[in-house]
Amino acid sequence: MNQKSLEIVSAQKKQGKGIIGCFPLYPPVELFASMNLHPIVLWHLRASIHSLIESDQHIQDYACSIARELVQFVLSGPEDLLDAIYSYNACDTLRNIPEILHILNIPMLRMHVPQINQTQCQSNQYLARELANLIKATEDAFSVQFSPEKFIQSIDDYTKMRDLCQLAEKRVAQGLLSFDSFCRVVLSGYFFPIKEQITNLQALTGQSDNNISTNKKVFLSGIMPPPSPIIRAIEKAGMCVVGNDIASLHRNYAYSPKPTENPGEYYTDLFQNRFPCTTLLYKSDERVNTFCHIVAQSEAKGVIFVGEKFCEYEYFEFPYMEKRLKDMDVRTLLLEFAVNDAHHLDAYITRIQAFSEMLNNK
Amino acid sequence: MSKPKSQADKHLSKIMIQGYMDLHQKASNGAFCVWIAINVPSEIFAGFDNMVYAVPESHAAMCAGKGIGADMCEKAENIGYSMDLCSYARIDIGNSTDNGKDSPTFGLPKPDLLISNNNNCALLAKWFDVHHRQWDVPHFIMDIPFCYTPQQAKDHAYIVSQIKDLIGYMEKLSGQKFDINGFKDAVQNSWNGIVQWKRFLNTAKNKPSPITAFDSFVHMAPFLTLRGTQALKTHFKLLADEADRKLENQQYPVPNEKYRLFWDNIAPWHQLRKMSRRLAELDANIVGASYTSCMGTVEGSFDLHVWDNDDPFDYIARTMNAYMCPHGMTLRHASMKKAIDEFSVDGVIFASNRSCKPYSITQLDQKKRCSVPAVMIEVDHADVRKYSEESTFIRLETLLERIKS
Repeated sequence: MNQKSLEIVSAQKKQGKGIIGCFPLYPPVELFASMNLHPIVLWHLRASIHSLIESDQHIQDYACSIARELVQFVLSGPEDLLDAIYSYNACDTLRNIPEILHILNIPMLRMHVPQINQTQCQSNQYLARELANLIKATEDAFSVQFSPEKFIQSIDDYTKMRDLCQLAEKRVAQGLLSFDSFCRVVLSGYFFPIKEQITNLQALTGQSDNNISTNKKVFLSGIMPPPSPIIRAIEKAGMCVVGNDIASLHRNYAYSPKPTENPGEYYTDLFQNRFPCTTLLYKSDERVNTFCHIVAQSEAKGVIFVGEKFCEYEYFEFPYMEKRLKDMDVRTLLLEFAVNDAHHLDAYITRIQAFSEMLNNK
Repeated sequence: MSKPKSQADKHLSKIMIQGYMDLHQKASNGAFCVWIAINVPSEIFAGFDNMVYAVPESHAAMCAGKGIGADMCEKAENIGYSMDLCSYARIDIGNSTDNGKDSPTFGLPKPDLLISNNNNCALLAKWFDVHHRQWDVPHFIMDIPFCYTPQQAKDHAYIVSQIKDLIGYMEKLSGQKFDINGFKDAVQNSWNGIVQWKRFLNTAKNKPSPITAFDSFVHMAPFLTLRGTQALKTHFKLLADEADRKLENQQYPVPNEKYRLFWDNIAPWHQLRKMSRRLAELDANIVGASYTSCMGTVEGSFDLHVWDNDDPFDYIARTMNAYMCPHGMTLRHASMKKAIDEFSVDGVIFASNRSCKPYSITQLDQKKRCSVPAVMIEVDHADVRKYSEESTFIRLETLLERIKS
């Protein structure tokens, strides 16, 4: 979140919209937006964090930077920015954060997203009930009313946004747009009202960045994209990002369910069919095949894994994924990023240049 | 010099060796072999004629206790698994790279089914996925909602439905028919055992205490590997009787017990002997631990959840949130607070465990809420390379000074 994003969120608040800070990455934003609230996803907060002093009072330094920055932002960020926090079950670290944030004394909205394999158990009714409870809790917290019509409209907006993300991603793969510009617009969208996100993405899809060679095709995978200077180094080294499996990018916008007035139906479809993510335990089998398929389809010669230090979900998978890619004759590079790594990026850049040279010889 | 083995210690060795031998033998004779996460309700396997189960976490703890944890972790690291991952997982994955060559139990028999759950720790599902992919063995994930408040009826019903689905799935995979009576008897056996366990733990309420938390760490293993059997009650009764006798005979592990401490986190398996000896030299006794007190309990208290001899599904689903990790900070705090009072605890050791984020995150806040002096030390439950004895004892001695003052 940068200064501009913050101004936009503050403006929404001034207009009377309740601000819901959400984590982790896949909250029911369509639902919240349809209830005249402004959901922001508490991810990619580094730009607004100057230290981790407050966070260090609450969580250990072996938690991932996402958790530490989130706690820092919420507890020491702009006063009274958030009117509620929404969270759902994710990893072992993040599930403990809501109680740490409880000191803010604002409503804590929660939902349990079923993690069972649908071929072994059924969880649709459970999820539908969770959503009904969430709607009720949101109505009570903000004195708002759920409207099926507004929900449909909201779905339409978010579907449009996701389609535009995919269109922009294609332009990146064609070398018409830099991955850096793409990331900046898509990620800032996590804080913007949906209409504004759409406008920005429309502008992005019309934008052309020159001089991106598509000779050396690479694919990125991870929870978050690498820092901007690293993306620029990748492109400067002559590599073109022809696809990604980043949780806050492709995994998030790759699928849109069919519109329906029924939130239970909509989110059951979304969670069942969304693009596999390491954080969705029930997607494990599908993830391997889907990942290998999109890498093959992208014709990438190399995959760069963007490791978020201490993210167990991702790190348990890297060795197996590397093995599968080796079988496909695709080269891999694992970069690990932690808090403060942005201050010493040169070592990464050297490795990226070496990786690029290695792809020359393929 | 290590203390002589008691009758219960010898019995433990005997039943653990026998347990692992039976496991290997039955599996090699065609029994359907299941690997489970520790709070998967293993009583259900007793409902099948020919089914055995193994607990990789317990096996990993044993390896760490025997001093080979770090070596096994390295085997996993050598094939690409990060040193930041849970050391139990690294030991288990390392062990699977060479079929348990260095394991004290010759490893574990290959599974026919993996069952994990995500409430104790969600990474278990990822860990079991490693084997699922490596050996092409089915993996069933039990999805148990995390408890910020005591378990809700909707979540209880959801868990019951999953247990029933799991049974159906196992019937299909194993070709064996499930018998509810076997399941019910196993729940009864576990209950009989856990009552004796609680009796054993409660002897530590005496001052001085006839036991230490280190005894409970060592003797908890049968609860993981022999759940549902009569052997569980036999062993825990022996243990509790022995503690009573020690009390009668005024045999105390820390004879000049001045400081009564409470431990929060998984046991530091590679340090049990050293840490207990050094603490005893300082007249300090860890008289209780959240790790061993939570077995058979539910959220917010270390009191047992009572089995009413009625519906095993209800009881099992209700106690699937036993252990500390599936509970939020408020509930954990409530359990600890009560234990601090009941066990006359002078100080709490929060063991910040790099290998167990679910247990450790929130400890900083819990420490602030603690009603008695508390300290935080850095440990890793099974990887000795991430532990410094001297740094730990500087902190522990400081805690004792604070209590003294």
